[in-house]
Amino acid sequence: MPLEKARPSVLSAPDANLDPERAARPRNRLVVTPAVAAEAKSVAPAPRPQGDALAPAVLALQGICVQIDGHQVLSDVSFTVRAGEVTALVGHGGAGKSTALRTGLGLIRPLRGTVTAAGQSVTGWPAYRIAQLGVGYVPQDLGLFADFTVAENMALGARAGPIPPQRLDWLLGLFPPLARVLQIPVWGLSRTACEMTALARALAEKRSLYILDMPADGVTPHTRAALSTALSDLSLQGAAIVIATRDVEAAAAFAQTAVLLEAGRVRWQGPPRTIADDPALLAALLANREGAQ
Amino acid sequence: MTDAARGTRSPARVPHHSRRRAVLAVPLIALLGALALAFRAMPVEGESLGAFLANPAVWGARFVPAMGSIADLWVRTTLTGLASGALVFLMGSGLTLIWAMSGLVGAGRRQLIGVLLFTGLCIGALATGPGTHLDPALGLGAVLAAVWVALSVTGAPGLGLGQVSVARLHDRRVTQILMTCAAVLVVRVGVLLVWGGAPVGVDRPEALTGSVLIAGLPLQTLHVLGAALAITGLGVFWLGLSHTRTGLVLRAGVRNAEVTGAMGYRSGGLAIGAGLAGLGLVTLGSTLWAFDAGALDARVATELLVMVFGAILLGGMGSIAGCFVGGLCVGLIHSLGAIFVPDMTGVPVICLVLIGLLVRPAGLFGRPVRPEP
Repeated sequence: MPLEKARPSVLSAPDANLDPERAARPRNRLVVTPAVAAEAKSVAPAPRPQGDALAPAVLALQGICVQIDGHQVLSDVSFTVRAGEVTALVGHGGAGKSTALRTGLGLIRPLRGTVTAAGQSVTGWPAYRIAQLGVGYVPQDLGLFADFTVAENMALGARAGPIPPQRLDWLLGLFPPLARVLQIPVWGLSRTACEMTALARALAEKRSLYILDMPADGVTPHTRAALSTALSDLSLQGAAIVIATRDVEAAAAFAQTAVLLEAGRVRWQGPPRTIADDPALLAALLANREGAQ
Repeated sequence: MTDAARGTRSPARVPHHSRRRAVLAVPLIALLGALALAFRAMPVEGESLGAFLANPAVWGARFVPAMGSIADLWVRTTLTGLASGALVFLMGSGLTLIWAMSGLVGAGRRQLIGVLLFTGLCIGALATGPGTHLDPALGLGAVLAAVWVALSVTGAPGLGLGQVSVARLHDRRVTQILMTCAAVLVVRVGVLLVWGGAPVGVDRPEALTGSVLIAGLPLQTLHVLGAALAITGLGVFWLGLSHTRTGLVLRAGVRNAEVTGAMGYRSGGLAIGAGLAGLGLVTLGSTLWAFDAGALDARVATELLVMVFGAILLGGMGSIAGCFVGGLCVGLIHSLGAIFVPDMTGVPVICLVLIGLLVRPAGLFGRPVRPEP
């Protein structure tokens, strides 16, 4: 089910002043909008990532190797998540998508390699410090607190205090079913409502990076539609988003960049449409180097 | 049908009603206690229980006078039971807090929590040793300080045990309870071997002797203090955990430390603070209990352990409100048991806990354990 979605262009992104919350947001939360990034560059030369990317890198994994219980789960994985873009990690179950995302958030310590977030090396940082740089996160299993109400789960997503009414309106507009179940414990809810609660919790506060480890193709159709709107809203606001998926079509519908993972290695990176439209190329990429291992 | 509609008729609300109803266990036990006392008073002088039971015709005629004759005893027993229930709650809530927090901190801090856990628990066992000989000349504050010193001395052996139990079993709380009981038994035997089992007399501080008159009832000052502390504690827990952000983060951290961390909350420091508060509650409760008992020996320590663990299990692991209700139930049944079976006061407590868990396996206020999907 490919969803039509205009690709948000970094160059045509609206001015950051359109966001009413940005001015009120305190402390060193990392809000990297294109406009802000341009200002920053004029003051100090920001580390310019390789390639022809225009947007600054919000999260970069470089040469990451991860072993879990003696098994090599990731080998030399490198990719970059850029502001204003949706990046999809594409791969089969077990390809290492979640491990890569969890390593990026500091939940897994890599054997080798560096993690860079917001321009500084955060390798080995505990997850809470990385999260405090401005990361919203949806774990693979949603990570909801089953006996908390929907409202309590969402409130945990906003560290600065209660969710501002404007933001809450936006969230409930994105996820209308939640409005009627706010005071109900999560464990009685449908799958769709759970997925939406987890998303709403991650989006409860403005962040510079959203790590969505829920598979974009595995969610219910309701959630998928809401997710599509949410992702385009967020990338228009200049946030960087990385989302896991097992389906190249979903990647093409949601993302501007795809990172193809197979057996813990990055096989290919580029516009997802390229591999979505060319099954032969995709098969060749997935089969590539299989014999060499 | 939309998700919202499905959500609103979810079964999630059912436990809330039945959990509130569980409070009725306390008056129920008090009522049953009154009936039992009346029943005990009904046979006339020289009549055997069998003869009385074989003659139902006299039951009705004797019931009212029997109720009248036991009224005073019942009021005293109930008040004593509620007061000791309050102390049990203080200790039980402290333990609940310590347990809850031990799952929250990172691996590096589990040692410290292990020490907290075991020192807090070993106090019951160490009550048999001279470490807790309470000098009545000291004020309550000084006594508490002395207990803290005793606790820190006992912390070293607790470290090793704490490592094993907390690091390996921190997600299996019933196993943790068994481990703790075993450790306490071992410590107690050690104390008996080293210092002998003679009871240690504990005199109440001057300020806590005597009684006050509340609503026409003479109540012991110590019991009033215990009840006041328990109610304050319950209020603080309820407000602090249910109605503040810090409480929300703490509760979240207890349930899933990884996700809570990934959302940017550093809950380790909070956990240490809460664990220390829990230890304080255990110390406070057991000190007041020692004043109440008047003497400490191995029997008192065992009795205390049975009651505190019984209250926690009956109320539902991890529930502070459950611990309160469980504590009151256990306190009531304990003081009734002291009349009926003075030599085995632990038995009615254990029976009550067993019945409670048979009726509701997760405890009165516990949330039903659902298998992971």
